[in-house]
Amino acid sequence: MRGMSAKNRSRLLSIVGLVAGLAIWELIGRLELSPAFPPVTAVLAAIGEVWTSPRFLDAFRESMISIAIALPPSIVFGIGIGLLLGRYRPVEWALDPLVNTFLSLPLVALIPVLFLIFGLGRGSILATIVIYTFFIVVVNTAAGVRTTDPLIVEMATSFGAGERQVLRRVVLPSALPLMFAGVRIATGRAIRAVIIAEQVIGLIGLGGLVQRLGGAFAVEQLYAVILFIGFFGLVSMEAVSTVERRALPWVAAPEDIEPAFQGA
Amino acid sequence: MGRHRGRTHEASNSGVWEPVVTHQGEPSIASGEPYTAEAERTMTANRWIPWAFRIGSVGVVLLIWELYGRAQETTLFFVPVSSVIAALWEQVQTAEFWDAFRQTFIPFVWGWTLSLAVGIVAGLLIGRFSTFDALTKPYVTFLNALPVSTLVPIAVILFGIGYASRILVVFLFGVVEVTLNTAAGVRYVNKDLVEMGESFNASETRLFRKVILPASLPGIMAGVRIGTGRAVVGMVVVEILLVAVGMGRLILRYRGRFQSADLFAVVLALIIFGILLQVLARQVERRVSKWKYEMEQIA
Amino acid sequence: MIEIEGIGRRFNTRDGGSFEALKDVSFSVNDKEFFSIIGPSGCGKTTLLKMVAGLVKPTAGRIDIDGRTVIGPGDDRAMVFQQFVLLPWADILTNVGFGLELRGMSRKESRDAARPHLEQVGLTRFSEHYPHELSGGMQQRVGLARALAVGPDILLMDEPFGALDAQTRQLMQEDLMRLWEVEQKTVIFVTHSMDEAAYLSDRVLVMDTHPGRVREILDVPLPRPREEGVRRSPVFNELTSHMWRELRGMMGDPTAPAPE
Repeated sequence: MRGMSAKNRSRLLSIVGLVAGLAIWELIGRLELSPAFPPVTAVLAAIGEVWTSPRFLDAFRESMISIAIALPPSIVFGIGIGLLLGRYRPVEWALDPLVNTFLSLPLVALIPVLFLIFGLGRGSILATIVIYTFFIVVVNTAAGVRTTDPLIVEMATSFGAGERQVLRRVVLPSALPLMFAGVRIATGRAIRAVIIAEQVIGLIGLGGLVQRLGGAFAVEQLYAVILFIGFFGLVSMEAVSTVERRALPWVAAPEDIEPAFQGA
Repeated sequence: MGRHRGRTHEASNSGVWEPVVTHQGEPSIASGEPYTAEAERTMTANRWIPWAFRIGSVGVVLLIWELYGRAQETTLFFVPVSSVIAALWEQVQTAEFWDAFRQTFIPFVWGWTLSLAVGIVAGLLIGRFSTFDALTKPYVTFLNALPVSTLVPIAVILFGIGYASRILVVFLFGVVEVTLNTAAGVRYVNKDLVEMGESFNASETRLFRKVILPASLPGIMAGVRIGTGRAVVGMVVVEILLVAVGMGRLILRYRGRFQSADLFAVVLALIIFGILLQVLARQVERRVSKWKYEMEQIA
Repeated sequence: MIEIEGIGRRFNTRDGGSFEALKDVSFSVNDKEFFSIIGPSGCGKTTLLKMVAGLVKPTAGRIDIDGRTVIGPGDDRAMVFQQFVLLPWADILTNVGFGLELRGMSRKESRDAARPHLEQVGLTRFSEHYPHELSGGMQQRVGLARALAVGPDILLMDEPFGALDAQTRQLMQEDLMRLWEVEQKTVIFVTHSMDEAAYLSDRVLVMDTHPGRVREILDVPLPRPREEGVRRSPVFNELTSHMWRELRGMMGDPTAPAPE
């Protein structure tokens, strides 16, 4: 172990930790200490079965459809409003309290209200995704706009650039890192949003599947779905991060802006 | 700047160089304070314009809410803000409301306290010992990426629908952020401080207690603040997914009967509770980390 | 007496190779002597100081203090740091007593024991203040008081005035001289400044670099206590000129990596 670099050593330890944890879980499962902890091997077997079943694939498709419908417009509008908010003081004064209010309250609490207004269907799910993602994109975009160096703006103006050119060629590129951060965070939150909303309805999508499997005490399959959701979350965030890195090679990771009620 | 003259001298211990002052500078108006009445007026005017906008926009939103609510033909789906306030006012005077709140609040407090205790300890270990960090990394990373609401059915299978499962859910929601922020607070302690402590031959425990812990406190408090927010989310998730008792039961009932104003009122109560807790956490954090803020002002 | 024998220090570099920061350094420091170490950047003088402090272990050779080999930090030595390294969350008096606290005293006791040392550096008025409220020079005095408070035989000072402006620096040098005349401790003082080394020391070790090693050890034949005009004396100028010639010759290779 001594010859290894620090990075490889920590990777090895992580694998050791993972294996050890799985071994302990397997033991607990074999001892049948609780129906909530089936042996790992049973869960792994269930994964093969569940991840390929039509029931699961349908649910996954449903969730993805909701995200695909709600997330892109939320991001686009969020960026638009964020740009305005970051660039023009009056807009900031007017909208800032609203945006900050939505970021400091537990958005989950609004779900019953949304369900009342939009009914127990996809509408509420879409609305949930929107409130979870819109404001975070706004805030990160606005912050990104604010990082624009006023000296560069001044320089551009001195070369005759008009407002639109300044926006396109100076403000937008400056704002890109934090904008991407906002999109990355929003992606994670969109997944949380769709899951919790579907759980409340209990019928459709991955969230609904979780609730039904839980109700049926089908623990192994439940874990299989949970593991999928977790990994999917990880993979999506990594994907966005990769796009981020490719698109912005000049950037060292800036501070992200997260709301008070995380994952709310 | 005038020319200055002076007498130079050979390099020796005796001999004195006398500066000759030819120009006296004027005191500069560098303090930034307005020194004319007009400047003073403009500055005060500028100060209240943003506030006017802010109050104005909140007012506009409330007004729209009120008008749109009143314009509804039925109160089944959307109600004006005045009805909500009225409904809330009535509810807080009933014992039923406070019973429900208590049933919601008790598991929250337990789960929240547990998440802080476990989270801080875990965070300290992870931040201080890279071995521990590496061993637990897969779990922490996964738990951080997973929507914790998916673990609610597991909690129910484990503990049923009583307090225990609710406490577990609140705990799970809060513990990850507390751990991560505490670990970061410990990890990024100024290395110079640690070295200074070591130079005085301090034992591991003493070094930890007197240098590392105080230095990590701002990070830990940030973790407490964010973790508290998450715990509140967990509390609400419990209320809307495990609806047998507490505020969740009220929500379910009002939704079922389409008593919208009452439903909005309960939601508003939960939101106010969450915001109050956040404000409190922020105040505590600010007080504990006072030295760090003051340092950053100077830097 | 401090005996440094055959000290060497290797570091592993990121690409798998190794880098020799110090090679075969040997010299000794007498009791109650003021001993400076000067050298170009990257010559390992701070590493050497940390070895005497017991914070860094040599990869070759050893350091003996009064016959006992150094294996770690000890009660007989205390360090003063270039960046002061005061506790930002504690007031000045607590900071001065902190070394004692780390060695087991209660906070109250260490604060009481710290008072005379705070007075020694002339900052009694500021005992309830916080570090960020003090100037750089004052903060370093606190650092010095903290080191003195633990009653070490040996003071290890790592470019303590490096972070200060030129005027404050000179004042601090004079104050340090006055203090040292009273305290009579052994001091090992690392510096970049030839003037500083000549003004303060009894002897100066000039180090060579890449790898760090002893170039020469100079005697400083200036009278003690140091007088006001000593910086302008011919002996002083000779000494600093000599040091400059030595150092300048060494600074020819800007492309070599620095170990610190």
